[in-house]
Amino acid sequence: MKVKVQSEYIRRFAESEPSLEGYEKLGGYKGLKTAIQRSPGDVRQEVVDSGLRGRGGAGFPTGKKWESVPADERHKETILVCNADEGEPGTFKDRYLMEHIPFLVLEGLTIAAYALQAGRMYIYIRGEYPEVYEGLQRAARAARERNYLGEHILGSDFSIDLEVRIGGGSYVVGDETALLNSLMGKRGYPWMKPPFPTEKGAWGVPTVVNNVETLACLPVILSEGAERFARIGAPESPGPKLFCVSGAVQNPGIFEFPMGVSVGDVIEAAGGTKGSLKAVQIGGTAGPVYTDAALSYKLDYESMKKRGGVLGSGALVIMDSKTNMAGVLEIIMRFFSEESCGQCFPCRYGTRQLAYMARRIACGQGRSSYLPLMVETTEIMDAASFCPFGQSVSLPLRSLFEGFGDEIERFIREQEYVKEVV
Amino acid sequence: MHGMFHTSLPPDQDRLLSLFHEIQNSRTETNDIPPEDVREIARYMNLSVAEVYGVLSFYHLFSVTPRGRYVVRLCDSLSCRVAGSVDIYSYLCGQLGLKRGGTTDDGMFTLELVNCLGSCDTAPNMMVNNQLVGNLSIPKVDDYFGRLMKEAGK
Amino acid sequence: MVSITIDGKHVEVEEGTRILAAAEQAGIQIPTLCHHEDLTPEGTCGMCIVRIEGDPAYRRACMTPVREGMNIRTHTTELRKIRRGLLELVLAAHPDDCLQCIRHGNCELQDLAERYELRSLRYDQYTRGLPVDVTARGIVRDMNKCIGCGRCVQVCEELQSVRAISFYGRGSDTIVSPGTDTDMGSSVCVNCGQCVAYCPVGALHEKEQIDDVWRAIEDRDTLVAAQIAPAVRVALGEEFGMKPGDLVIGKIYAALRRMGVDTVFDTNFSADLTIMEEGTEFLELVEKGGPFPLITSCSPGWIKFGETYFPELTGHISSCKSPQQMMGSLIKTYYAESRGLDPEKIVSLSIMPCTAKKFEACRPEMRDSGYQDVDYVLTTRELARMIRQAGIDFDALQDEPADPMMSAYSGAATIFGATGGVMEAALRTAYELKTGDRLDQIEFHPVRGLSGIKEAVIDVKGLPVKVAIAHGLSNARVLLDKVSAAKKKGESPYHFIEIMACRGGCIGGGGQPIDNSMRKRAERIRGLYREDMELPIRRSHENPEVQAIYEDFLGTPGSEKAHHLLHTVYTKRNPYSEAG
Repeated sequence: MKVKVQSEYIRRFAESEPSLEGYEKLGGYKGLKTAIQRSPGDVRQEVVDSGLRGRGGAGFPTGKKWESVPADERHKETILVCNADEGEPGTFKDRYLMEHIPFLVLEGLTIAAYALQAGRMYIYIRGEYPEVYEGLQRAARAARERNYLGEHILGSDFSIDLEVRIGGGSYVVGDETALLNSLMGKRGYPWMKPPFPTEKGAWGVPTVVNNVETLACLPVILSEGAERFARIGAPESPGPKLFCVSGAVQNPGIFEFPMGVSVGDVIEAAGGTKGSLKAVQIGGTAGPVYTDAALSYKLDYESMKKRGGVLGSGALVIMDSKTNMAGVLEIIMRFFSEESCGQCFPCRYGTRQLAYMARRIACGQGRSSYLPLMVETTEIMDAASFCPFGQSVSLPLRSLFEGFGDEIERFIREQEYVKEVV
Repeated sequence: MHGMFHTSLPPDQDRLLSLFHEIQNSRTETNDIPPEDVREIARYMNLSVAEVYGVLSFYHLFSVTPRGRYVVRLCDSLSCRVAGSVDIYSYLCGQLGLKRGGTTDDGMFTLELVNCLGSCDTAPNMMVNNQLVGNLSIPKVDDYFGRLMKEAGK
Repeated sequence: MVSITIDGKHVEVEEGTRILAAAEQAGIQIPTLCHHEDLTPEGTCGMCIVRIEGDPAYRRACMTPVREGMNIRTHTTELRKIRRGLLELVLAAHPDDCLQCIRHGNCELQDLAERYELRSLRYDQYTRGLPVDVTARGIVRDMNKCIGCGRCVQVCEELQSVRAISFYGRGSDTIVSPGTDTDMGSSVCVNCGQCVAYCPVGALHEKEQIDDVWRAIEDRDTLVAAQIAPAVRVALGEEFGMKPGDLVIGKIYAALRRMGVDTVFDTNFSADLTIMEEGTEFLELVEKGGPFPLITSCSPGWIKFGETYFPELTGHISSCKSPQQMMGSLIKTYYAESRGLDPEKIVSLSIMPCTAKKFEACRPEMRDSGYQDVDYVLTTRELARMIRQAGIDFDALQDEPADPMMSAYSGAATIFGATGGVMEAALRTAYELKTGDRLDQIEFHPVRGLSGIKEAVIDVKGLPVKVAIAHGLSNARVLLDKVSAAKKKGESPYHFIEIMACRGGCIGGGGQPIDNSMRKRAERIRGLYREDMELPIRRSHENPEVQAIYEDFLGTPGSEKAHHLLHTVYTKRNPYSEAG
């Protein structure tokens, strides 16, 4: 089904100068008001019924994640953390939400806290967003004054307050267990699951980590019902999605579409490619890099998975004919090497060798033996990495070799040099 | 030398990153967390010196060595590259007389290359201390740095 | 019990067993690099991955518990290829200088490379190019060789609670460090060397003094007098193919002489002496009614730990020096005088299981003889190297006796090397001196064994003496937190405490042969208790040479001369200062 119309499910609340009054006028906080009149179990069921899937990249069903919090005494200590560590290159939707619609995020967070009957609530925001951090503090203060946050929310029995914590600069901390270690003031190493954070999370207590955009979907799910949400988008990936478009397009920005929209339609909404489309990377740096064949691909979790790719964060980076794919290989491999936490051997050593070989290729010193060796290195990392970070390098690498292997091989053969390598 | 900082943050380990930011932001001339402060943090938080360094060294926004008054972080990820960030980088290196990670002799600027700053629709981007500056072009860079130099009376 | 199949073999294992251990029970060796049986598995290296039927992912055998009906494959062609590739990645980041490395021939990385027959590397090699940290007295930290397994960090943080080192940096640049502006020598590192005991490669090792000792031996002008610690005699044999616990002291005396050492004494003599001094010290406290507890002082790793983390308790540490240091000052006084030797021409050498002893020997106050009381300390491993360098066939050596005057020892002395040994030795003497009675049962079993903290109440003819023993500094910390808290209320839960920095006691010291696992330590301990049972004299106060030294030289235990030569003082240390 070709959908050209952008949706307004989320964007209707956006204001360039966010204020609580403005947000309320546009229908804000109706969701929380609705939720708080229902039982927490009802609210959780609504989220299950909506089919909402995590918007951070993994796409795990949110209702299911909530249900895995133990139903016994321990759930009273449940910690809810909003993952605002948006570090996936090409992704800026969470910044957009927190800057332009902070109250939508706060409302969603509070709804989630109520549904989980959480004891504590945090937003963990990346260190590179200090201005957003300040803005969130201001919004929280305003929400507190209007009793949307804090003691006896909206006059109910439920009380919870918000702490905003800021990170120190590390991509891997976007992974939920690494994030929790960082929240606790430690090095951002992921831990082995099981135990899952919902079972045993921060400080040993059941912890739910949800992405900013996931939480931003909750207010309307509650105020207008799960069914409305579920009807938008694709069958197994319901709801709207904020797609981030950047790179060689006329109007880079955030575009809200129902899940399942085609790549071509999103690019068109962004004003089309500047020049001719050569490549598009979908889902962030850990996502596949496709040729222009991707224009017809559908952007939802299942469709991308069927292709052996990922939807990831829903970022689209468009590259035109000026882009050098050996240079792209170098950028991506270097990113993983710089951001690897270093805990496990396959990733700490593997990413470094990959970055080294990619750099040599880009500097005109590549060897043809590098290509199969790089693939084998990612196979080792797929098998033996401690966490999904190390396992996510093979996808962009393989896709680059599949789609642009000729160009990269020519680079090696002719010892060409990417002038942009710094 | 004895580290001295004032904080209202409680001595709990989960406040460590916030404390690092606080101290670093307060040191406006050098944007760093010097060794004597690290020791004081360890004492305050009842952690070992090694542990505090361990956490500090993991996160790339922090520095234990002095930097400039303005830490310039230029994004080097894919979207910014496609938008021409390398030209901005080369220009800045030339203007400031720096290589990646270096600080100007007058202690004004440190130039760092970082990964995605999360504002890809305004690429190329940089952060200068806590401020995001997007849609960079050479004229805009000239204008921005010119103003900074003027404010500093140079 | 749980039934599983591993590589086609059916095994029954206890519930909760990890695949790695289950495989071992089935006779299958899954390769590991970061794993150690004494430590909590962290899944760092990824070498131990296996395939489980029905599971799309590869699982780490060290961390994954078995489940009923699991069908596991540990050595498929694919797994072998992945492990080989992973090893190549590690080796490509490791210096290529095996021949110059202290762990050549006893290195877990070498073992794996040999196992996978890695004759060439497809990756380009690189090293970190970092300076080697030689600032600590006992330990060298070479971060060019660090593979990042994390064992040393776990040991220092969790087993020892010293927390001198942590991971530093991120990604492939990660190393292990005491901090940016700190090297090991100025950190809180206590030199216990437990990090060395567990390091799989040559990244952390003892600071060698072999060349200095050869020079001293070869110097015709000087006389080298050596002492050997109890824990060495049941471990050195391991370096020559013998079993842990085999008593090889006779061969050690012979080997030292063959090497050119002039005089061979035994630290066990001064261990007996320590009991005389400390037993007297303790009984005086009992007379005065306190203040308790008295804490033993022969473990220099413990001493620095106490000075750093429990400065409020340093007043309770026995003023007695360690046996090593007592012997050192006596060699340059008692021995020198009796033979008419110039103490300036005597080189005092000690053979120890311990890396912290190198630090202890250099403490500024350890010069009561008028000279540095102990000049060089060699670890068990260093001695083994020197024996080999001297071309001595250790196994073929005939037992020899040590030199008289300061080498006779009791069974009480020899058990110093085991946790609880100092306490037991002290009790044997304190009991008999206090009551005047002879004990029929001189073995104090409640203070023996490998429990981290042991407590007992010993009935000394109606007087209940409350004792506690801790080994491993994290256990010491627990015990001392309790003592410190009680002290604030003016109370003391114990009269006498023995603390050893290393788990198992000195036989697990940082200088002992590697593999230095708890399994080996248990065997070494057994060897010491065996020797104790076979010795004719088992009480320190019955040692004739000890009786002689008091009669001829020191006077009585606790005399002014004894205090001058055999007792010491402690320094309070600030864990947050630059001096460490």
